[in-house]
Amino acid sequence: MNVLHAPRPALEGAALSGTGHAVTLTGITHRYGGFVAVRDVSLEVAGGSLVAFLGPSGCGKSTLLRAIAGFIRPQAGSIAIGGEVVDDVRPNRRGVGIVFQNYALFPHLSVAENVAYGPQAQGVPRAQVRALVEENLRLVQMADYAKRLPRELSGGQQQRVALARVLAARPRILLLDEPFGALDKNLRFDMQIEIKRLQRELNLTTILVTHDQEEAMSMAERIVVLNQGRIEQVGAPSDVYDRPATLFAGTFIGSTNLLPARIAAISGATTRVRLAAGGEVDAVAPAPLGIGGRVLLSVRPERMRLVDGPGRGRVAARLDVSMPLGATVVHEVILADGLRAKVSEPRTHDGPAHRPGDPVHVELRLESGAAIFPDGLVEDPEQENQA
Amino acid sequence: MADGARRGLDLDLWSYRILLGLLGMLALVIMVGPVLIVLAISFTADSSMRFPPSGFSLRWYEALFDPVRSSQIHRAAINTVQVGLWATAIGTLLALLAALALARARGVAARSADTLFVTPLMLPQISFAVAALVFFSMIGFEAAKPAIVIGHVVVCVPLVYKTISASLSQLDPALIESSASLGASRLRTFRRITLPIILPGIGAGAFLLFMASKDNVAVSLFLSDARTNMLPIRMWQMLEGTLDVRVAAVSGVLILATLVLMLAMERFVRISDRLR
Repeated sequence: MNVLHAPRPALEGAALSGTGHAVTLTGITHRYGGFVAVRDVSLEVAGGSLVAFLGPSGCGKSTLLRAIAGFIRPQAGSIAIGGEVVDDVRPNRRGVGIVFQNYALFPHLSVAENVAYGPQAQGVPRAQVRALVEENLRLVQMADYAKRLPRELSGGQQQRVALARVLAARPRILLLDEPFGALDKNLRFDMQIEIKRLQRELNLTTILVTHDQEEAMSMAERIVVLNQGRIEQVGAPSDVYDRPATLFAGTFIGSTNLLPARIAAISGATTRVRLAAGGEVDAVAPAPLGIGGRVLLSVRPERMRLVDGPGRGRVAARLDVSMPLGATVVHEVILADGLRAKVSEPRTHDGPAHRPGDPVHVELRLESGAAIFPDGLVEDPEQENQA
Repeated sequence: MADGARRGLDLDLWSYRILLGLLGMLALVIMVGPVLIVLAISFTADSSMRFPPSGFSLRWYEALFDPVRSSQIHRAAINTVQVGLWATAIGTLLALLAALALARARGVAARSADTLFVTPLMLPQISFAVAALVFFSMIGFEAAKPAIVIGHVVVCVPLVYKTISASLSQLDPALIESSASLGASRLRTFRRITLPIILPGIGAGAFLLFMASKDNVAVSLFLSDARTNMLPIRMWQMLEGTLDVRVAAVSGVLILATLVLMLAMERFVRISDRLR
């Protein structure tokens, strides 16, 4: 089912969910027993934006989501929606809609009854409930399925019903808890575009919780990188990708090569490092340490390419494996110090220029997208997070 | 050689299957045989419970349904149904409340209560019956029928508590959370989501409770008095005194009633799935 090219119903703004409420988290801390799930998180999600909470399992993203929805009450901190503090407001009065990974459709109710559930619970008059149901089912192109039971629908259809159900309740905030995890790849892409489109048209503040960095990169206007209950970085996807604030952010988002090095010189925004694998390179990235400091140079695979001869910013290596991956080729090379690195290049039609085992040189292009982290040092635990 | 090995394996497999089949047949005979025999006897033309019967007649059913000759049996049957319905209503309500309270609780107290509510399944009923008799006479509680209802609730409640707990534990918490975040109050969530989803479990549990109450001997025996005879006890007395063939007819009626009820339960709550 391709929702991309299907005709789109017109939006009738007044009856739809609205819009542009900001979410403010202030000093949120929550423990489960002795385990600190979220540690002093403060964050402002701008009204009408789509923000992704991104991190591995156990990073605290779901806890934050549940706190915003009102399912748990954090032990410390405060949550405001649209400027109103909601700490004492029950989930059914918060106006926060949530779509779960398994959609959580009510199994004994038909599609139409599922969608009508929210408006009915809110005491909307019957005629208006019917209008809301029709409108929202049309919005997700499920109007023909109104009488079906959830178990008679495919995963993608169930998700769209879940979306219609949540929108019919006209939430101020939309929370998506790993909503695409159960869909296959093509359908997932369609649904991501669909949700993004609806979110924009409704100007609905949306928080997407995911551990999938590609999903976060493609959907969100801002990404909140979480790790061990703390915010590592908040920024636009390109910021987080090109200028990871921490080693964790750099390695969790996208793949990267971490090359041991020492700082050789610092001039303005450019830092010259001497690689352990030999050679010196200039990176446009702030130096975390003084001259001589041991660092890790983070270089994205696509910021490197294979070249033939030595030269400035080039490192000697040996090609180990080449793997074509769609439009790109990923080479794994072994550097002089034995370290492996990945190099990603656009695939050309000329056939491979190098064969496995060949000595090659790797050119590092570090005018952007590089980052330098202190090596072997514990990161500053008191680091401030700001949105 | 490979052939020989395979033939040996087949022999193993076949002897296993034959043994399993024989054991299955044996179990079936032991379970179904007596039922068939008592049914056959209930249609006997003889005046004793002999098997095989020498002729077919409905005389014992006629005698059983005769309001004058079988008034005591009728009274006992009515008592049994009354007690069963009361025990089912009270027991199901209590079990539902307990299961709702304990479903998501993880504390030590909650786990202990959970265990406590199913102990009557393991505790010897006869001990409880004696204790209940002593207790009720000690506090001067003389009404036999309410006492039997209370006793049946205690010994039968684990059945319904367990089936309701199982239904609740299969209920996806995300459904409850979705309902709340869509704007539903707790009461509305219970009425529109929780209750409809666990209703088959409640029905199955109530059915089991009623069946157990109907069959209960130990508690009924100790707590009933002369005026509140219960059907299983009445049947025992009839058999003990006179080898009354009407007992077989009562059994026939009970078997038929059980079959009808089970088919109905199967239709509405798929009880066979819930007893797994």
